[in-house]
Formats: sequence, C-alpha cells, structure tokens
Amino acid sequence: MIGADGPPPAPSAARARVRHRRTPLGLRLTFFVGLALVGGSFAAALGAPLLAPRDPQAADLRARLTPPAWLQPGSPYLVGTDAIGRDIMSRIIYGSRVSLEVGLVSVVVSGVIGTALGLIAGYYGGWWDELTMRLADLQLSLPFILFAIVVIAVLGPGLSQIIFVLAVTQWASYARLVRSETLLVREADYIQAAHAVGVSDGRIIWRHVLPNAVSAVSVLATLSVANNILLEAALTFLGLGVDPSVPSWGGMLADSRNYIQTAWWDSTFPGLAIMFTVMGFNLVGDWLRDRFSPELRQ
Amino acid sequence: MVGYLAARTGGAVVVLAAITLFVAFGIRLTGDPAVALFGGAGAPSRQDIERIHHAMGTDRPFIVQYGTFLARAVHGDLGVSFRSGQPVTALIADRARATLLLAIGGMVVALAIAFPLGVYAAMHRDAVTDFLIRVASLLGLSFPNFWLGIMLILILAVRLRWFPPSGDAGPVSLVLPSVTLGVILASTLVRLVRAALLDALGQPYIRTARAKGLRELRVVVRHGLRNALLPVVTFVGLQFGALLGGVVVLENVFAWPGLGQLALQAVSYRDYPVVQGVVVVLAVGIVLVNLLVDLSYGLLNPRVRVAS
Repeated sequence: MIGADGPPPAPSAARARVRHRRTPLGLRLTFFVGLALVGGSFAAALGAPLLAPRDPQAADLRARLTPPAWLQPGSPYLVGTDAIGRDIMSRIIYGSRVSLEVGLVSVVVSGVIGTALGLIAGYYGGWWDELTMRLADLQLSLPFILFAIVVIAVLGPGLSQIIFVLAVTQWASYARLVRSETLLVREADYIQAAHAVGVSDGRIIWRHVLPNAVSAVSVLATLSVANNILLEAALTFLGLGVDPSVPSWGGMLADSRNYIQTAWWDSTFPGLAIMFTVMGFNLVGDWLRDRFSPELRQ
Repeated sequence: MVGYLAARTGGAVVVLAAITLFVAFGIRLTGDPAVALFGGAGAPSRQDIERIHHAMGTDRPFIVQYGTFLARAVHGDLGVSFRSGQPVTALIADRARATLLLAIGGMVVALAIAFPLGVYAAMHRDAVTDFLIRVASLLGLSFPNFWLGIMLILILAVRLRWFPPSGDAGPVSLVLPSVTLGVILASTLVRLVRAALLDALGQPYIRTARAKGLRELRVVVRHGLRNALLPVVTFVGLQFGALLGGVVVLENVFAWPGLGQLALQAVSYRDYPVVQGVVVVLAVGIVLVNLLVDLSYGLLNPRVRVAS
C-alpha cells in the first residue's frame, strides 16, 4: 500500500498493540490547535446568544458597510457590518450553528447507515454483499455536484435537504470501509470461537466485529465533518443551500459578492470562520488517522 | 483482458443509464417548464399550457419521453432547449470549451505545484520539511475553494488590478480561476506524490541504481518518479468528478461561461433537455475518464486485473 512511511503496518498487528513510535511533537501541537479550533466553533454554536454582541438579524441602514473597528475608531462593530448594516461578528457566531449542524448530522446519518450496511455485507456476504457493493459503486460514480443540483431542484433548498443530500451521497464510503474491516476479522479465531459456543450473529457483530471498525470509521467521520462543512458552504453560496434568512457562512459570502469592490471585510471574515473550523476538524482527523488507522493514509 | 474490458464497460453503461434515468425523472419533479417559460408575465391560459406541453412533448408518459431522449442521444441528438430553441448540443459545445479550459488550467497549476514540492519533500525526509508540507496541505484542504477565489479577486483584481475580476476577457481571465482550482487540488496531490515517491524509492531497483553510482536527482527522477506516476495518474483521473464540483462553483464566482453555469440556469428555467444534456455529457466524461484510468491500471499492473 502506498502512503505509509517506512514498513507497511500489518493491520492486525498495528491494531493489537499500541505502537511504540511516539507522536512527533509537531503533530501533537497541531492536534491541540485543532482541538482548540473545534472547541471554539462548538462554543460559538452553543453559546451564540451569550457571545454574540448583538442580534444577527438586526439591520441598521445608517451603519451599512461599516469597516472593522480598528479602521473606524469608536465603531461598535468589531469586524464591520454588511450591506444592510447587520453586525458581521454576530452573524459569524450564529452562522457556526448551521455549519456544525449540517456537518455533524450528515456524518452521523451517513455513518450509521453505511456502517450497518457494511457490517451486514461483510459478515454475511452473498447476494446482499453483492447488491450493497454494486449500489455503493453506483453512488460513488455519481458526481456529487450533479446529484446535489438535481435533488435540491426537486426538494427545494433548506437545511434538512442539504443534510439529506450529503447523507445519501456518503453512506457508500462508510459501507466500503466497514465491509473491508469486517472481512479482515470474519474468519478470526475469536469469531469462530464465539460461533462455536452459540453466540448469536447479532451479538457477534455488535460485540466482536463492530469494535474493530470503530477507529477507522471515526477517522473517516471526523474528516467528513470538515468536508461536509465545505460542501454545505459551497451549496449555500450557489443558492442551493440553507434559507437566506438564517445566518450562514456560505450565505454571508454569497451576499458579500456585490460589495467586493468596496467592503473587503464583508467577504473576508465569514471565509476565515469556515477555514478555521474546517481546519480544526482536519487537524483532529489527521491526528486520529495517524494514531489509530495508519492504513487510511493517502 | 477481454473479459476485464467487457466487465468494466458494462459497469460504465449501467452507471450512465442510472444517472440519466435519475436526472430525467428528477428534473421532471421540479416544476412545469411551460409555466416557467411565462416567468410571471401574466397568467397563461389552460390551452396555452397544453399547447406548449404538446409542442415540447412533455404531455407524453415519462417512459416515452425518456426512451425518446435515449434513442436520440445515442445518435448525438440531445434535443432542443425549451427556452432558446437552440439545439442542446450546440449550447453545450459552446460552454464545454470554457469548462474544459478551466479544468485543464487548474490541473496544470496543481501539477506544477505538487510535483516539485512532493519530490522535494520525499528527498528531504526531515521533521521540519515533513511538518511544513503536512500543515500546508492541510491548510489547502481547509480553504473553501470559492472563498479562495473571492480573496484572489479581492487582492489581485480589485486592489492590484493585475487581472480582470470575472468574465471571459481572453487568456488572462483564465489565470485566477485556474490558480484557485489548482491550489486546492495541489494540497492533496503533494501528499500523494510524496508518498508514492517514497514508496518507489524503497524498492530494490533504487538501491541498484544508486550502487551504479548515478546522481541522486537522476535516481529519484528517472527511477523513482517514473514508477511513482501510476498511483498519481490514477488519483488525478479519479479526482475528475470532484474537480468538476469545484469547477461549477468557481464558474459562478468568476462568472465563467461554462457548463456549470449553464446547468444551474437550465434547472431554474426547468429547461429539461438542457439539464439532461449537460448531465449526460458530464457523466459520460467522468465515466470515460474513470474507465480509462481503470484500464490503464489493469494494463500496467497485471496484479489489479479483475479476477473473474
């Protein structure tokens, strides 16, 4: 396999005992930075009413496109206002709710469905396995953006529609991953032993097979949260995402485009918010991958 | 080999059939094209609507419409736009050039960044270089591509006025969107080039080459990189679908007259033939690229051939 430095890890051996190589200092550092960024975005989402300096929807037309406070001494708006005088800082803080909700819910839904299908396919094999994997192939060969455009055109834009699109397009990655992890352990002695003493299939899958897949799934899930936040922002930016009346980072960027000549802050800060949040999940996911599933590295 | 070819081609046909069926069915759920045609300019009468439906052929059962579409598409006829009356193939040919230019431009930028950096990182496997490359590529993966585009417009077009901010005003217009697309793509590619090269450099023939006394750069490029190309090519091919997603969004940011813009407009006008046409062309492109990648892989590396 490509990707791992040095000797390729034997999957079972690497998993069986804690690896002796210490995580390099740099990587540990980036992990804490990532954790801080993720923590910060959660804090913003949960504590929005306490943290936001003002109402994210309150427009003040006399304060349209006010520059950030350090360019305009005395201004009460820390990073300025948008085209109808709404406080950008407050909108960014509230906007974290949309990003995190879409990112987390879509990953949980697709992760649970994909994992369940992958476990069953890998454990039982046969026609069910064949069917699931062919469906997964089909799903993975359908370009996301085309799928999203058509589905949103049918269902209309909105938060749950976005989550639906993301969940439907991503179950296949989990199913494939979990299936391959299941195949690795299906014939293992301890599974056979459990069979021999009459443990039910359901219990074997739940107690003995699933735990082997958890680390790989959690790595994929963490990195998918990052990716899904980006996809949601892009769809909302195109007008295919969440309702414009809800503050969201993609929506703010879409609104800011007409004022790019005059108000740089309007298009700069929402993008920074996306970047830091996504980077947080990427850093944590990267660390998890290095730690628990080196075979996923690419 | 023939069996492998047949299996893969058969798979590709199934995928195409599924995609076209899904799109043709889905787009018909989005709304009435006859009503969309009036676009709020007075309420059309029932007769008007029926007449338009008859002219468009949308009064026939779905299965007939889909069958007709397929039968014509096989002969290279994708129908006529409901809105402009132009043949869909002409509309697409016009826009496909722009999209292709952008995709190629992005790919060129990505390769130009990823190869030198990836090779350098593989040759200097110390903690600092590794760490920097890793952080840089993570940073690239965390940028929303459209926001990077906006920032480039803000700095290079609005402030410095080096480039036109949007539209298609000759080759200079291609620079900003290509760079945006390329930078994002390069962040994944750098890691891959580095990993594939390290993998290749661990092979016995590299030791032989070194033992012959070849210069290090020659060993790396001629013997290492050459063999590292295969996984990189595969990745680039398989990224084609994702690349397309990026292109659609960037076309919007840079007002670039490509297929993505055409599709988005067509969806809002309920222009079924155009939507179907764009999707078919893009899907055929993606499936074809994937197929070529698969086949070249099977040809170059006998271990990957389908077992059956």
